[in-house]
Amino acid sequence: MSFSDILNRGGSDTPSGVGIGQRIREAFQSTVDLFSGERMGQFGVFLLITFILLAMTAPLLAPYNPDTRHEAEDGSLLRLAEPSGDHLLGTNHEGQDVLSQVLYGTQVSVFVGLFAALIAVFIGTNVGLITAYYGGLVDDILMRLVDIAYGLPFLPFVIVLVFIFGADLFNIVLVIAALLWRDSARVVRAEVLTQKERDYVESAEAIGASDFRILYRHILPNVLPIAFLYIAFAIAYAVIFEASIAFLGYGDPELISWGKMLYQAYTFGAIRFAWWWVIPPGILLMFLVSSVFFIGRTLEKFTNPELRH
Amino acid sequence: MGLQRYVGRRLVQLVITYWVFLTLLFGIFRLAPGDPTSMYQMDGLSPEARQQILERLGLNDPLHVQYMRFMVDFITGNWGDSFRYGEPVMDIIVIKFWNTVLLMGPAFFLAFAIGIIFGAFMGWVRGTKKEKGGLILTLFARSSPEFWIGIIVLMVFTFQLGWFPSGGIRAPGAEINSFWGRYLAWDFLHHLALPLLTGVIFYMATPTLLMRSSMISVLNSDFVEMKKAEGIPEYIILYKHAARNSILPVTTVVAIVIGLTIGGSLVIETVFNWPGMGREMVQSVTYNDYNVSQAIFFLMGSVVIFMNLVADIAYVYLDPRVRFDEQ
Amino acid sequence: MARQGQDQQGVSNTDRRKVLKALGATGATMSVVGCMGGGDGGDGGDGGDGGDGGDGGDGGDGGDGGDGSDGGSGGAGETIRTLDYVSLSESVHPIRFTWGQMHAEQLEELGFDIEYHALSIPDYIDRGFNQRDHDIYILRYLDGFDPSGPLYTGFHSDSTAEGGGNCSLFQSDEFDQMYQEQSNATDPDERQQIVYDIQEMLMDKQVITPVMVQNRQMPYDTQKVTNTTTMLEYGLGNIHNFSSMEPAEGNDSSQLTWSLSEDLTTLNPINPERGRAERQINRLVYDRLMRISPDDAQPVPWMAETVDQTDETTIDVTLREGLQWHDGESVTAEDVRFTYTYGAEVSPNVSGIAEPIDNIEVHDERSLTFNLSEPTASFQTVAMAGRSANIIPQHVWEDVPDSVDAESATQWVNPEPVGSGPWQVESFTLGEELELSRFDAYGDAGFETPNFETSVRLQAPDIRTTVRQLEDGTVDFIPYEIQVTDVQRFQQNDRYGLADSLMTSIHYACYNMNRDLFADNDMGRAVRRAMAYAVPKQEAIQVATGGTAQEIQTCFSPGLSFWYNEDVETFNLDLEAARSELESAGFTWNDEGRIQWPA
Repeated sequence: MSFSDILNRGGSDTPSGVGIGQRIREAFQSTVDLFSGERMGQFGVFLLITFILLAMTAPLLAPYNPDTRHEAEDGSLLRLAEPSGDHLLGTNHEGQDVLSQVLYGTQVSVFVGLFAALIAVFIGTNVGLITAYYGGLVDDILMRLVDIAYGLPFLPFVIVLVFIFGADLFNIVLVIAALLWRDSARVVRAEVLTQKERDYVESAEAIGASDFRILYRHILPNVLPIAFLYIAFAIAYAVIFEASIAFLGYGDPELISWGKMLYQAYTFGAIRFAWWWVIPPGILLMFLVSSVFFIGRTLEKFTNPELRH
Repeated sequence: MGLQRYVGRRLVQLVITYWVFLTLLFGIFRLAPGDPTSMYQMDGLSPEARQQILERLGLNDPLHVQYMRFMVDFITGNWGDSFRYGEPVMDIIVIKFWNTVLLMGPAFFLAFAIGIIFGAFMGWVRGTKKEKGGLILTLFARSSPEFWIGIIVLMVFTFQLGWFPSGGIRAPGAEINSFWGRYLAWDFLHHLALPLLTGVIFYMATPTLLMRSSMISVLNSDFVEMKKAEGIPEYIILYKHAARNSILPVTTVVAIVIGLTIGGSLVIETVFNWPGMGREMVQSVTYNDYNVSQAIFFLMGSVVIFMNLVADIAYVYLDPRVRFDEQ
Repeated sequence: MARQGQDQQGVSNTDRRKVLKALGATGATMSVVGCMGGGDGGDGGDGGDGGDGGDGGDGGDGGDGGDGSDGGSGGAGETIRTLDYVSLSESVHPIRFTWGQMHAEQLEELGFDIEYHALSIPDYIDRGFNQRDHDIYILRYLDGFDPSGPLYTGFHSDSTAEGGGNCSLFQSDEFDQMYQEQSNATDPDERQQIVYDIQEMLMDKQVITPVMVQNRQMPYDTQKVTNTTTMLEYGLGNIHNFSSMEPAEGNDSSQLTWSLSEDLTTLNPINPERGRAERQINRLVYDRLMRISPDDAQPVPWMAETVDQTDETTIDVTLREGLQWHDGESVTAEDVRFTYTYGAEVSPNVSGIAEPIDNIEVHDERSLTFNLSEPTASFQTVAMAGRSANIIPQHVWEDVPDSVDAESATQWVNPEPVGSGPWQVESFTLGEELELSRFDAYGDAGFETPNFETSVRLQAPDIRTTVRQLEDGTVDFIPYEIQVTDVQRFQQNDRYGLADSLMTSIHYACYNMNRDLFADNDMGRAVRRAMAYAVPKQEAIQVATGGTAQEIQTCFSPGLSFWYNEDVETFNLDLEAARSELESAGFTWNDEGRIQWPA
């Protein structure tokens, strides 16, 4: 039984069968079922939850204010101090505590990842549903838009837009989302095209259900698994893009992010002699992105049963 | 609908896509704050001198006049002069273009070659610990932004082992006599190694994963079971049948990976101070050198648009199951 | 007059802003912090506070009390809107970014709501110099060896026009008058007194708050070169250093190599689009009638054997004997006259310095007279020794641009520069390297010639690379500032020497006096002075520059010791003093400690 089958148990072919609350409970239960026995997927979920918790509790966990410039005993700035009892991960070029900065940096990555991905997939799913269902001119126009979005070199475009609209965290989220929606739009559209031919859509049409109802009550649940999969991918890309923007020096200047930490360490030449400033943000970045890829792989097995063996 | 008509329709779409792309290009760089004189305003450029420059560059004309001029110039291949260097954009880009192509091209091909071999291997040993380990490694590689891979590579090979230079395209002061003298030199390859390695590690993940799953589905098919039953040795099945049949789907991601490669050139070139188009693009944006940014952006976009076209047509051509009218 | 110009020229830029606003782009930036400011916000754009109507551009003349107090009383008792503090991003200029942030933190502490904008260069310039869309704007600016330049650029009402450097938008007839007086005062002592008075006036009002002057540390490899000469502003990049440096013991190379990360884009000495990189090369390749002395920062005759100011508007110049162009022709008085007359026609830079010249009389091959239209005290420093005073050969330039493939003389590539300086250009590859060779005939005119035969300038992608090149022996010195962490490393290593190079440009904050809060009246004065008390100058110098800067209290670098007035009122971090300034103007604090307008 595929993920979508589980999700739509008792729902799809008998339109007015089970209540929505029941469906959500079942969907949750089936998600749990889905990950049981999937060690990589479980690991991914565990990692992701850990990062979200870290992001939420960063102010409590951080030993210092990440902006505080610490001083040595002689009153001079404690620049590039090696890890010690006072500073478990040492200090950076301005005497700031690296551990505290890394913890606060979690907030930016998690925030950008989740929000950009949700916005992108929300737009993409709706565009996919509408274009596939109505076809014709709407489809033509929106799909040309998708084509054009595909024609734009992604990172350069993001950088240009961020440069123009200002390196503000919200702008970064919006700009990433504004380009990422194309992926989910294309895939959801293809999926809806096949769903449209199914019996349950015809029977819903036969009993006179409104377009809106057919789209969102009947078809949407069947494309949700793919949407979830694309949320996972979109989180990964959003986190990478945000970090890349920050690494190129275009990040939000007021926030501490992992990309920015690496950018500072790189521009100050610290990769030669201050590993404690370089390794932590990089490793965490890698783990955060891989967590959603691990989750994505598990989801993918169920949206694409061929991968099971 | 025949293939010809499909291609024709696709070409009309291409023209529209280009028109929107060029308009966007014009729009976004005009929206950018400041103008090309900004960089010199604090260096003693008087308000009058600044106005003279803006006048000369035609930036005081109404937007629609600038737009028409932009469109005509761009289509006729007249990309103007760089504000910053005072030289034709073409002259400036051409060297950077080759620098980028000679870095990202090999990175791209090696990524596919290694990815396909590695993916095929993982598919072959499916279900074993080796496969799991390979899979996890691949996923980690895919999860690391290019600059992070680049930093690790630098830490290991340059600062720990001291094997390779930390950046640049050749040793400072090296004599260059010709186009080929630029690139067919040991010094160049020595500088190329680390950025190339970084690119390969990052880009090979996608083909590897795809090849692996494609292998698995082919290997699970009845066809392979039959061959096994016929007593054909495993390595022949792997090479002659399974791998060959699995490669087709991998080709479909060529366009996607090229898109990634182009974006990645910005980051990799920055980490390794590689004087290519990506780094030039980042700099010209910072300096409001519209003409250069536009031209590079146009080139990058063209590659992506063109590759998507080729991929679509190739896909239709290669896979007869796709009906043209569904597109 | 200036204002009118601003309106006309502003069109295209304002249009662009409107487009941006329509797209909701700037609105998004504003609203993030806008919500903290209390009830105002609303129209997003300028964050205008009720009565003011928003547009900082046409807030009337600063001194006009009616407008200012309207803005004030319109919001009586209300919390002050969020203020736009405009700075550069950390990647572009870490020092300015850091001290600005420290200032902003103190202002928050004092009870102001601050939004700190750390922008890219074009955005930063556009907001401060063109749009004037800032409350507080911080700069490192106002360089020069003569006081006229900085005073005109920073404070004259002409410089409030779009693109001008008076980012305080200070408009004062009194100042303009005093400026004119010092400009006409050819007696140095008389002039010094006026310049002192100007400083007292500006600092009492805190039209700007001076913060520090950087003492840039430029490193060199002591195993490669000795006998370096450093000087104010130019550091190791000065022309004297390129002649005085000798190979260190054991260095048998005849080549002097250095690298810089700033792009060298043109070798045309009259192109106005030049930065420090181009000017540095022009100084070596082209020569000037006078040069700034490394000893006291005063102009001394150079190509000129003598410079005699015979009366207030007449200057007689006699050229040295034996001066030659790099192509072998001899330098004549006619070339000098040509430089100023031709330059005034084709190059906005040269026309700027040539403005006071009424005419130039050439008497013979070597002597000429400058007749000025009015007494101009800065003439020798600026027009004879300044950055745009490069003498160019008539026989090369007289038919430019007609004889060459260029739109205009300033846009000519000048592929084989012919100057008369100590170095001539051998080859130039854009973005890679420039090779210079010693011009031996320079010695014929009695000048010291360089000790190295050739000199190569490498183009590095960033400052970090230049440091690495110094450490791996590729280059001999870096005529540019390096990062604090590198300075500290070099201090502990005997192999490297560090040359001091105090700058002439100063770090300072300026306040938009076209806006209600900072208007040129008593209330605005109190606010500006309060903000001056919130700059932690000493701490900022430690944190941002690692101690490689000097605290200042007036608008000049202490390097210009003749003009630097030590007796102006001093402002250092003192939030108590800041509070009493604000209280005296009637400002109050609400329960959350935010500042409210006077009732």
